[in-house]
Amino acid sequence: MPLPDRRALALLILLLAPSLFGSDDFKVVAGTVEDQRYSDARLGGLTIELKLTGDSVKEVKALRTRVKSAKDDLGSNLSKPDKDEKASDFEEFSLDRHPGPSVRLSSPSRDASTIDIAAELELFIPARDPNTKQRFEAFLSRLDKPISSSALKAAKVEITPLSPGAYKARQQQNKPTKEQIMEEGKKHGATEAEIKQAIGLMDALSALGADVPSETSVLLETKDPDGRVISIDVAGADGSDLHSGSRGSQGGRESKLVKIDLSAKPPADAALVVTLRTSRSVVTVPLNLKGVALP
Amino acid sequence: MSKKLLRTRVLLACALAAATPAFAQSKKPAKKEKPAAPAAPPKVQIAVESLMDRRTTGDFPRAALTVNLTLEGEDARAVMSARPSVTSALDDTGKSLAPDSSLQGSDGWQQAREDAPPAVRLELASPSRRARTLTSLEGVLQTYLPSRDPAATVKVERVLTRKDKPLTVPALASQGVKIQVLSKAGLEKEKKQAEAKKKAQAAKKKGTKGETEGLEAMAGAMADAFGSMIERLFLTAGENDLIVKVDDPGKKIFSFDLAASDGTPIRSYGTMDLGNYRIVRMLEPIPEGACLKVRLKTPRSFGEVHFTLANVKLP
Repeated sequence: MPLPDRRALALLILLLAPSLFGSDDFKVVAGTVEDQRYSDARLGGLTIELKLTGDSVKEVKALRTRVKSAKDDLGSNLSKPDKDEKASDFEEFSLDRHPGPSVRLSSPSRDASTIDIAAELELFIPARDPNTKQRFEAFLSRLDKPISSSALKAAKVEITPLSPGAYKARQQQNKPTKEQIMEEGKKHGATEAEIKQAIGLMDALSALGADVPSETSVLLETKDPDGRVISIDVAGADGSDLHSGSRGSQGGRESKLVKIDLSAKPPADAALVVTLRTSRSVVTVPLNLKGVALP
Repeated sequence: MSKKLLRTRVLLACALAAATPAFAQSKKPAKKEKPAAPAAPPKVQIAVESLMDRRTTGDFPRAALTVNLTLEGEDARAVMSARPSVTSALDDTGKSLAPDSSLQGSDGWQQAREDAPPAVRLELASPSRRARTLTSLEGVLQTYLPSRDPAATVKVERVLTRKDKPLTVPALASQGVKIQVLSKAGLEKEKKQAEAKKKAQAAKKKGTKGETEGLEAMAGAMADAFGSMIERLFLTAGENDLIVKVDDPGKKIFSFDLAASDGTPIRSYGTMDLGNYRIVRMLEPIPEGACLKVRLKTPRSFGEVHFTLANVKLP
């Protein structure tokens, strides 16, 4: 048999390339479908659990879905994103995490039987790019100043380790007034009694001291307008992960206060490990679910 | 199996079942006990407040139609607790939505909210997707209104000063009820006693090796169950909670609540039953001078309201 010429070989490699390096390894199917229908139509919605399979799924550490279209069999549009709405943040993922990833839509008509969804699933696979992990040594010795890093700068991310005093001052500064809460609640159609109940609950939680830092707390302020930060962890100087029992945050991408409560006081030479999403670490998988039966 | 051994095993099983504490968080006593002779029906009207139809292809949480009811009318605010039961429920496709009684976990009593009657919640079977209305919903609401009978409330004044001593309350004694409020130290004493009993049983068991069947094995198992219950009580009770040891063979106690010295109700967030112990869960410390109100089941304090609701639009 004659050997193929070089051009034919190159063409063959190009044709094979997407299946070798692309997303063919991942398969996504619909899992549990839940339709929560309330007499108050502002509440509830349809949730379709997504089940990922494939050899590389164990390498996926976070993901997000972007719905392109979703319709029931009566033609009702179940996905109406705001024009100004930014893509959601990535959610942590592992095969044993429950609940798993899902697509959230509006509730279809009671007369509908099935739905069709077209979406994209963005999978964060840090193993594909070593630059996703950025380590900042002895960060506790430089409190109240942003961490200087070209990688963070390129991702438009600013991280400032905070002293307890600075953290409390920012907390106070960011705390919405009761009037602001009332105004926001009214915008969302909540009744005065519901808003008062929410304020009461907030005060009760505050009284319990849930947001008060302790000596085991690592306090940060993050600014991440493009949602590039996947996770922030604390490690020992030897690289060992310092276990965090709980963590809390308040604020949004523009400015967020983060409190990581470790199981013990962090050593002075502890390092901050920031996991960032890079273009090489994200794989996009198209998702086309047709005729998903409604419960 | 010999008759004697079989009898012993049955006895042991019964004893264990009796000793196993009701470890569910409940707002009301765990026993379902219908009052002997309910008094006149209270002046309460029942209406649908909201519905939630949870439809799912999964097994948990299961599909169900939740109906929230409101109580209105002259006596609504006097209702301290309410328990609904459904006699029939149908959607407009003819499907019966009457709940499966075997799936009802708690005793079903729902407690009044602050300044408002209880928010009564019914869980029905899931209607057909094609259904548009709940054609009919019929049932009975049992209500507990202690204010209708002075004998239904027994007050223990300045309860915090009376910890760790058996309380002498004639109104309770006449009902065969004994209660004791325990401090953490008192609970510690109970724990030590339970441990000592457990050790004694273990030693006895060791001494009579080979003859452990029968009543001794049963007593050992009971001591074990009691010890682990006290242990759980220790783990569960919070700093602010009120722990009450209850001896109520006739099941006369309906619930406990607290009031400040000026009579203002003190809010708790429910009561937990653990064997003969009740934990009144408190978010904040109980103020000095607080009074414990023991609510008793008396015929005059109960009343039944029959309800029929029709053509309720499904969401």
